[in-house]
Amino acid sequence: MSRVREIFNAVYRIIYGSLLATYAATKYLFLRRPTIEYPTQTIQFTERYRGALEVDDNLCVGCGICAKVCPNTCIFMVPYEKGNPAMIPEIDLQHCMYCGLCVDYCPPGAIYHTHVVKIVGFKRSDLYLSQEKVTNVQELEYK
Amino acid sequence: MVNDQQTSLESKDIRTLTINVGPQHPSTHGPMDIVVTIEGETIIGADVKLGYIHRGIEKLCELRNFFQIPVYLNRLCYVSGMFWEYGFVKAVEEIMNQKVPERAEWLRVIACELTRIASHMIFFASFGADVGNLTLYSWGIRDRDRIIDVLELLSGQRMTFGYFRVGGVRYDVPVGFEDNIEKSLRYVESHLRDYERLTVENPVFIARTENIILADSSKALELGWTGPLLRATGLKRDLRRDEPYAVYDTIDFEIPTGKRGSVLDTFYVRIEEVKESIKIVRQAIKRIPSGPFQHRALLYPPPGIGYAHVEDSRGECGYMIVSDGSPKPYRVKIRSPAYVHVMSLPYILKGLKLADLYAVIGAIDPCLGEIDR
Amino acid sequence: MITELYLPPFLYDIFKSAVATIIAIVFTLLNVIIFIYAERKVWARSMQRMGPTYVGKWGSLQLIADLIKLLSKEIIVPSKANRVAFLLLPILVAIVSLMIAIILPYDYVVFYTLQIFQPLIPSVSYLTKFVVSNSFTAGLFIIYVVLGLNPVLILLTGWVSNNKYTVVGGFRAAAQLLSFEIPLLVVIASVVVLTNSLNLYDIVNMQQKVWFVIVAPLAFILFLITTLAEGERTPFDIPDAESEIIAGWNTEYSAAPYALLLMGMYARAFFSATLIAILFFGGWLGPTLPGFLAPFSGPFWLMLKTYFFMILFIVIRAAFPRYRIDQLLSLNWTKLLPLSIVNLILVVIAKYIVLSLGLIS
Repeated sequence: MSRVREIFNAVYRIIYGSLLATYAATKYLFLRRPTIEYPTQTIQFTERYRGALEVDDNLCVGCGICAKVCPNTCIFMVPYEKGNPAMIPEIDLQHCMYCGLCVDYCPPGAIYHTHVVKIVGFKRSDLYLSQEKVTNVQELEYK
Repeated sequence: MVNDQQTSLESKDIRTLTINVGPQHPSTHGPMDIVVTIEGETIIGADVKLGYIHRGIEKLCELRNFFQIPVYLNRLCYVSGMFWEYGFVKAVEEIMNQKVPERAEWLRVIACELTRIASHMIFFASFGADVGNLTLYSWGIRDRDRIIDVLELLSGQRMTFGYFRVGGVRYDVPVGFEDNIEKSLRYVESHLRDYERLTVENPVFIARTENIILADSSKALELGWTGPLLRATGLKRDLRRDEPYAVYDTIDFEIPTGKRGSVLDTFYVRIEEVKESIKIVRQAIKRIPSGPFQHRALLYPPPGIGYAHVEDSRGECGYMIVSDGSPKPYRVKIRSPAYVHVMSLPYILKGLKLADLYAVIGAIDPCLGEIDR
Repeated sequence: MITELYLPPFLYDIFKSAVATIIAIVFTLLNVIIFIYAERKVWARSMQRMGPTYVGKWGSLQLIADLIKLLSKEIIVPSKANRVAFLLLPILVAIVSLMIAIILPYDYVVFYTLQIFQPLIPSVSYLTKFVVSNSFTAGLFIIYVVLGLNPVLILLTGWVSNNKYTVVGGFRAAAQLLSFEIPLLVVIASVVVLTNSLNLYDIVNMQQKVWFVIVAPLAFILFLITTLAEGERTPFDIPDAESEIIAGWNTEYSAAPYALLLMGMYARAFFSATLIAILFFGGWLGPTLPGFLAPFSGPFWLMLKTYFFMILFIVIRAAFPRYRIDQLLSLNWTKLLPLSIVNLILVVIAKYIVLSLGLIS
């Protein structure tokens, strides 16, 4: 008798489980989807999102700490053509891993993350932020 | 195991067939090569070949200053980055005898448990794809994304967080964080029942997974397993409970265990762990004290050796750090749980069917970043 | 119009068959495209994705774009493969799959749908004489035989590709399809026991009062499972398990031959859906539609039921993982085969009950 009950339970579990699984898959046919269509809709970045780096040449003192703390050594201090400050960081975005250590350690807070993530170039050197580019990264965003 | 396979290849036995699963294969979780010898559909030998994404992270650590290293270590396992930062930071703090503020400890718990949920969601996703149910894949990615959104709010990055610092954490919680976390947790929680319906209650899924026994508990200990795989065999081993770090000793949570160490048990354990993690995060949000989130710490530790391990989503992730008093570590040794699990594949696979191989890989949930380092 | 055709009888028959065949095949191809599009959309909804959205409204032209892409690509033949057989077999698979389309009442669907224009063009009623699918007295048997050709072709497809994955996939396919034909035969036999006829039209007309799904529910469940296995649909898509053996027996195929194989697979699944509707759900029987749509009601109910089972196949694909080949074979030999024999006995009993109630004649 217990054997019969066992078999009956097994059959019941199989049928009930199959129906439950089918129900679970069917349920989502009628629910709202959380996805968005990327090129036409974009997500909002959070405040702390670490995008491409930008340097404010009004605040930068040219101390070079950012170049020293960068783990990938992708920040290079070069003489600034506009004169003030004397040295300004140039950033190789190809090697940058967006860790944000330079931002953390910058004494005047002159280097900071923007929400720019779409920078497009035809050659590798387009992703090298020279001193003209690094002060206005916002304009480099691909639209 | 390797010898068995070589002899079978040398004898040119035409009844056997050698199949390379990987390094390019739809169901490997990264570039990993498993050379399987099959006779019919039965696996008679397996050999694991690793090292396809060896990036030399241990060596990189030796060439960087201590404060620069954590931002590299979240690249070890890109689905559970927080744990790998935590292990290193904890080991350095052990050498320094650095105190961590209580608020930072709670923040670490929140970050780690959220990462655990996200990592287990990736497990559901990849396991679903391995056994041929791509719906599970999509659902896993969907729910993980909600958790990742919260982590982005907290740390500023979606996968490579860089959140841990020696002596605390990098940021305090942002404005409106509690509401966001609760919303995301509810979103994930509302779907957990459907995961169960699609998996542990689904007769086809049960038939596929329940009779693949990975190992019994004594063999699992012998092989050096940790984490969900060990708990699936029935042992109640969890570093959060056995050697409580951070504030885990004050938190109320269960340690789910399986019964027989089957693939189904590993799945069950992980679903329950997600529920427990949600519970822990809720408690942490409620009980987190105010105060500083970071203490001033030395830039680098004094000479000494430190070992620290934390309960990763895959097992026990450990760091052995040797410091010689210079700004750079003398040696960093990483103990990866997934490496141990993957290297016991030849033992598990012998005698199973070819289709079981993918279920086993899925259950082990290897992360090739931390295996190859 | 073609109201009067003065042709010798045998030429007339050939003309009639040719028209019906072309119509049936074109209709099948159209439905294959609908099936794949529905699968991508419905499955995507179940997975909470969007599915194709970019080409055309709601991505409706995506399949056409994919087809053009497949047809315009280079046909790559592996150097170790048998070139002639490698290129010939997809064509054979496609032909064998499409042969079933002539037996199933698709020409009926098309010609009777056109009858809604009868008030405008009276001569369109002549087209109803072009339906040939009602003349197959052994239609069900032919379908079974044609399905029986598939395992051989698929095994050969895997073998001539000369690749480890295709060989494993081919052997899996052969084992699976061959063994599932036996319960399929027994289940079909149980339907024949009820109807005393192998003609699909007779089978449908027998269900005027009661659908066979009520008379023989077990037969329906068994038929659903076996057709899923015969069509290599999830949870029985073991021969082409993409996460296990890349793509199984069609791993090496690309471009146009791959399109043919894919078309064959989806066509078989579509035929299965139609067959379920015909054998167990009363085919085109249903309430007559109002007004000028009245002649359309038969095709409407048949296609509604067919599409319902198409969606069911897709939802099953979304809900279930894949079986293992040895479990599948043991399911077949130890459960489905005994159950189908039990079903045969039950159907014989049910037939007497139904006959005594006067529900079938």
